[in-house]
Amino acid sequence: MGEQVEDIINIITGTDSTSGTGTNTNANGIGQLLFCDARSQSELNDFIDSERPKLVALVGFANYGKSTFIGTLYELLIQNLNYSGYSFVDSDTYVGFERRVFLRRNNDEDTSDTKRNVLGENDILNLMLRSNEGKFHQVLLSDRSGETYLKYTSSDDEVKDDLVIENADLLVFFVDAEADTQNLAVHNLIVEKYEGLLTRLKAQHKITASVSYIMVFTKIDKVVSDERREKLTDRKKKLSAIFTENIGKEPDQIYEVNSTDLNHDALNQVFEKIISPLTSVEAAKELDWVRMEIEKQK
Amino acid sequence: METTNILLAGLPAAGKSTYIAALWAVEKDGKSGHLLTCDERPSESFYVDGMSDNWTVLKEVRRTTFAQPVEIVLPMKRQNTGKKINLSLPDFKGEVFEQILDNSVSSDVVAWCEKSHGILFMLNLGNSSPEVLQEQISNTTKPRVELEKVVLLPNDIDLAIQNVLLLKYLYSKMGDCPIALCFSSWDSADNSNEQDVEEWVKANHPCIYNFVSAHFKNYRYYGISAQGADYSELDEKRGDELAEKATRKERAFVYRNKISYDITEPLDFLIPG
Repeated sequence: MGEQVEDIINIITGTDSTSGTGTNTNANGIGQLLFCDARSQSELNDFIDSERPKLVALVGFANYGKSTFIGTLYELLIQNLNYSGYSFVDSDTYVGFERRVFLRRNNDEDTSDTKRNVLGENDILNLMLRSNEGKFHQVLLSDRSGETYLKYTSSDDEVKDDLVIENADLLVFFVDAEADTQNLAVHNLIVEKYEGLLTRLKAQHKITASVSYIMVFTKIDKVVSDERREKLTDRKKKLSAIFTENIGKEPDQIYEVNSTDLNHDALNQVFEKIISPLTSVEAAKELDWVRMEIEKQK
Repeated sequence: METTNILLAGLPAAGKSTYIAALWAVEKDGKSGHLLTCDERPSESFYVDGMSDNWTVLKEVRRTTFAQPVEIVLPMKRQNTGKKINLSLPDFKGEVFEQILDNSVSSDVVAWCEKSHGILFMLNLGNSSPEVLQEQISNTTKPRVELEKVVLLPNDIDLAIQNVLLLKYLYSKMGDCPIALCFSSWDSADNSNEQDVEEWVKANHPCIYNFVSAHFKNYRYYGISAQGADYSELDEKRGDELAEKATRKERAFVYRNKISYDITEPLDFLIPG
């Protein structure tokens, strides 16, 4: 087995001792919190104004490209007066986004020591958007570390306190297409980890029947040969079948994206799906969902 | 005489002190004919005289270093109405505003937020364009700083976003008040005198435009060149030309959709009545 494949397995299984926090960090692994930093799930209710925000959970294991994805979305929003019919007018977590862009800038493609969102770092980010018609809506994004979801695959206790997935309006599951098409062993591990995650989420009633979900295969620019394209087609089918079985319905859509190409059609389609407002039916859901869940757990 | 407090805010090197220097140099003799001009010499003007002396001899105005802000009170008169106003501006060092990003807010800033009628917000950003973004993102897999450095510091934040964060803080303290946003070093901004400054902000700094238009009803953008030129590009002949312009009060200028040598325009916009 090649060194690169071993690195991928180490990252997926969390046995890569060098990944994650790097040095010069405090106990949280992120240094000092700044003005408008990311928030934690216990602060979700602080974002509720007169209307319920849309909650989008970005789910995936370490190095699947979540931070690159979210960093690109953020940079598109701040660099464009209007993106896909919406203006990005405010955020209480500008610095949380900046952190992700910063981590992405520090990526080193030549090593597996990829700096990324780390375990314990606050994960809730918000976007306040204004439509061309002048209507405001808010989108909350949960961007947790891959290590958090890895823990979910092995422990009910880790899953049971989760408020984000249970209350999400949209779940976005990430898969590293480059890793998934390397060899069968790596693919099998990815399937196993997602199966473990979904089984525990289902057992803890965290995935509701009404939730929408999509699958996003990242790093598609690294999957170029015919052989790997064929593998991807086959493995996408296998993986989506696991999701369908556990969630009880097929994904709304499966996307293949290159998060470093701003003009990538599929990438922009996913972004549009994420930032679009809730439908009136979705918006009518209970306003105070998180507080209710916290009370229930007490 | 009525006193109007205006909060002069901006990150380090935004051009706050240079603006005060140029304002005093141009207006102190009361002969400019501008919207606001000096009505009488204040009883003590040592601080602003020192700043304007540097401006006059084409030297960089020294950056403010005092821990406490220096309160500058200038007795001004509105030319069109004759109304006399004590204009009160704080000269904060930019680091005081930068520390807000670090969750460390000076009590002096809080006090000035509470008593100010409007904000004169200085920015020094230069140009950026969406075309540059793709290049930046494409290069993101290449290490730009040393690998071990993973802690985000305020200076690592995009400069336009640092300014949005400062605006967000000021909005949280002062609410929807009048605000004049002045982009300094306007003499060196590319193509900056060929379009309306608001259109320039939309094109070059959309995150600032979107934030401001969503929060403030009474806002106005200005390009501003308090120095009149980049000193590093001056030879003796060009220096003499600039000094000559100063005697005609045509050295410092503001820009909205055309050049105006009345650099009191942003202040006049902020002062009520």
